[in-house]
Amino acid sequence: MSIPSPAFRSRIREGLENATLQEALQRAVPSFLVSRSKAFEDLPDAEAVRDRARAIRAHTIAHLDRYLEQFAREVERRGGKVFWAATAREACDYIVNLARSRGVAMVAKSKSMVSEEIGLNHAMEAAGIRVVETDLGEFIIQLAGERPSHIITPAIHKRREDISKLFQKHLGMPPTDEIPEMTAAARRALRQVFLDARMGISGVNFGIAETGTLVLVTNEGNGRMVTTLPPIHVALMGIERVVPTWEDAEILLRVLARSATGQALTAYTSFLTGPRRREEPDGPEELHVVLVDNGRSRWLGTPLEEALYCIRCGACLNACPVYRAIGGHAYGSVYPGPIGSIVTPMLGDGNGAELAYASSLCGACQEICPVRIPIPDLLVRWRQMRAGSLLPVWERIGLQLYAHAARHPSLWARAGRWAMGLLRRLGREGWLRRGVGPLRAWTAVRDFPVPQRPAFRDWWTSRRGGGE
Amino acid sequence: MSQTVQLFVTCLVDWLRPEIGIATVRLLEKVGVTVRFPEAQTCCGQPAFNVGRWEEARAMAEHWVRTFDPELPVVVPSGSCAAMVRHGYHVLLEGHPLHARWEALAAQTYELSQYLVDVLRIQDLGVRREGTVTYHPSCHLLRMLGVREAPERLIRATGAAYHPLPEAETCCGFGGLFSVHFEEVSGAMLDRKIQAIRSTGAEVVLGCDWSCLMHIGGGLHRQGLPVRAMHLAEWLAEGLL
Amino acid sequence: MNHPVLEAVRRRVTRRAVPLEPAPALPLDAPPGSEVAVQRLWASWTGIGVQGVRCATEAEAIREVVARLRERKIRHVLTDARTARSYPGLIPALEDAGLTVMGGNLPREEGPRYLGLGRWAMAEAGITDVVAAFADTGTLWVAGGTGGMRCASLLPPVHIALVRRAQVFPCLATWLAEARASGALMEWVEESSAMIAITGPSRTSDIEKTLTLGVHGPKEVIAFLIEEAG
Repeated sequence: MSIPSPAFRSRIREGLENATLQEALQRAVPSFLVSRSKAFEDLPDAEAVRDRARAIRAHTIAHLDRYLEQFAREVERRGGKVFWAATAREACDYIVNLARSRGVAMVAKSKSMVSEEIGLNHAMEAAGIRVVETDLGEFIIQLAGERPSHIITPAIHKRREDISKLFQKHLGMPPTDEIPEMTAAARRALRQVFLDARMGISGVNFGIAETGTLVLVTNEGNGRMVTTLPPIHVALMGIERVVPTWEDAEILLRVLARSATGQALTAYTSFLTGPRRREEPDGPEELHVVLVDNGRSRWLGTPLEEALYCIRCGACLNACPVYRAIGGHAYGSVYPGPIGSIVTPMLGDGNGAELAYASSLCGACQEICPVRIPIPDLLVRWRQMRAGSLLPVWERIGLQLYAHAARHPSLWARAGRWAMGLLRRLGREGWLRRGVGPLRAWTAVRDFPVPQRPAFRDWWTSRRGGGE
Repeated sequence: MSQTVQLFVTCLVDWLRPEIGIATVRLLEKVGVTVRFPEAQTCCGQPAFNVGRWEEARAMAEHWVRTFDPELPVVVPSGSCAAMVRHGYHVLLEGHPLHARWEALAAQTYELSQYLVDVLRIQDLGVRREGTVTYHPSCHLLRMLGVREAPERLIRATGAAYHPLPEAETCCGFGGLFSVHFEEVSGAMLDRKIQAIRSTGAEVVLGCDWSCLMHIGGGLHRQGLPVRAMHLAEWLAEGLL
Repeated sequence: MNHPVLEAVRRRVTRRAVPLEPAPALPLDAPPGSEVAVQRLWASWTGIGVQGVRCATEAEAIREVVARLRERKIRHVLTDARTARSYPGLIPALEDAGLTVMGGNLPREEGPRYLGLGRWAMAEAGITDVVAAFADTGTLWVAGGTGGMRCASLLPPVHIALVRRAQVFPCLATWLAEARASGALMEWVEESSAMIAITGPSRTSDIEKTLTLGVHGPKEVIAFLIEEAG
């Protein structure tokens, strides 16, 4: 094994060498961080709101069974159908079968991370059902045949020129550099999709247990469209997304948009309870809530449980200097960035534990997280669980020897003097420009300063022995 | 002032940059602190802890806790190693017979600038310096120890021209073994840090962690730039009147 | 209730007591309908791109609505029974101005439902009343429910909302507290499949982080703030 694996290393290189991506990240991320700070400055008692938000998440996860059961019961009491999916496969099968049984040919979909996680689009397309992503960013990504590179702004790595070309090819849009014209072309194309689709699929930001209400935020309004116009609404929800009450949801909403986009509130926050009622003029005739486990429940009661507090705001991506250097695709996961590196191996078949090593543990993620998830600690937990299999053998042996020496001070002193003597001989004018062995990777990008004088401990001894 | 402290010099300083340890002793003695150096000290175990080898890390933590005297403060010229003792050991020594001894130690383990400014309440060490400097706050010092202002206060008191670093709180890309596992990413992060440092026009970039400074300095040297990366203690000690 | 997923969750939850942090301060603390709340609402509307219009009376508001529709050469308007009930003068005024008013209930059978939606989609403006407005964020709080149409604030490119001063709450938290205490919250939940907090026009920044309005929902939101009580 090596860290990173060859596949991960090549994805990282692609990210580092992709000039468009680099430019987009440099442009977009700093401005986001500014608006996010401003949004929190304007929120009274912001730190107390974060504490409360965290407490709500912690309490809910500690009593998840109770709130899930209540949530499911309340959804059904108001005419919704609940499907419990233990695996990605079960969730996809349920939705595919539902679509088939209702004769659905096309599905309009708003952004749902869970749908990406379970590979829903692929399963639907395989069954001959067309799925159209309606979030503008996701729509662009779908036309390009790619994967999102950011939770909140999936097409952050695309320039307007790329998008213009895509729209010319797929939507017959005349050539243009104007973003409003591109947006208008997408509006026209997708408006017809909303009207024609016989099924709408959405994600869920929070499920309110006390009433079985789905809370969904969307800036573009596509989230409202897919949950309002098609006769069938399918909501995909990770089992951890539940919150006890409306008041709890309100607290979380105070931090969600501020963390995600720097807005006080997203343009549309829908509170959806059951399908269309008898006296209502419109709304979906059927509501299906698919509760997806896909590995989540395994981690309850473990130190990684806190990762389930995540409200998917994406702030930690923007705060992360590694994400800003390599972009979202490099992670090779639906959930990129710091929290993604923890969540990815928690889900499904548990692949991707090496992602935990792709962090300098600087802590910027924890600092920005609205529910204060100790992301660096959880990354180190993953490393602890997988170091046995992931760390290269020579590193493991090296650390064992190092630790052994560290517990035997005289051996430590001798070994240290020997190693420093060697380093001094290899260095020139105080620097090592091309290292071998453990120093090879170091000197690939920077020089290594070699010591110029004996160890501190030797200075101390000589000083005590007879002055400096 | 008749304080006595134990110096935890850290393995990196002990072997790779003893000048920082010597400077630390001089500074502390200058303000009247008696320094002891428990000679059995080695490494805090952070490298092993952070890559996930907790057995080895725990062994080192045990050694560390046994080596230092829980009755006396510990001063460390590194934010990261001080943070390891304060936070990392909390996880490693949970339910351990040494836990109580660790608690007594952790409560009085300080990074050097933190000790001088927040504990001793000294900002002006009687150091005079000229020239233009900037300061990079290392992540663990900043976020795990919460030390934000102490180093800047010490710098400002010297009379040197202090130019704050843009995006100072962004990681330099060191990150322990991250710097060699992901050397290209580490290098890309370093490039940004170097750009920021250059934009200040400073001749010296100061910090409180030799680990990050070794990485930043190595990058500056590789790029042939006439900016030095120096530990705050060394820089201050050079200007002792 | 039993299912393997729920069982797995039950087996593993810690059920530990989590100290509930004290409730933080409200985003804005002011009495509903107060001048402080109204001022803040106005400022919030400016910030998020809602065009605010202040009117002394309901009649004035209706005249203004018609004027705005004319300015925009709008001919088809989508509105619902609840708005008509709250503002009895509205539909007659629209019809007097020669506008086609669309509304009613969408049929439930698939074919007619589809055709009905297609017709609604031709409307160039939608008019709704609100349950409340939230000053701290400039939010229009609209709902489905009996006679409450979800599409009117969504499908047309222009959304016109009618807000009375007494409906101006400082923030969602205050409205929730009051609706919880009065029982209104549970009534809404029972009768309404949707409550929507609308905070500005439809927006996207998905292309080069450049803000563009009206991508799927309305590009224009015009809110009339009426002094007169209903």
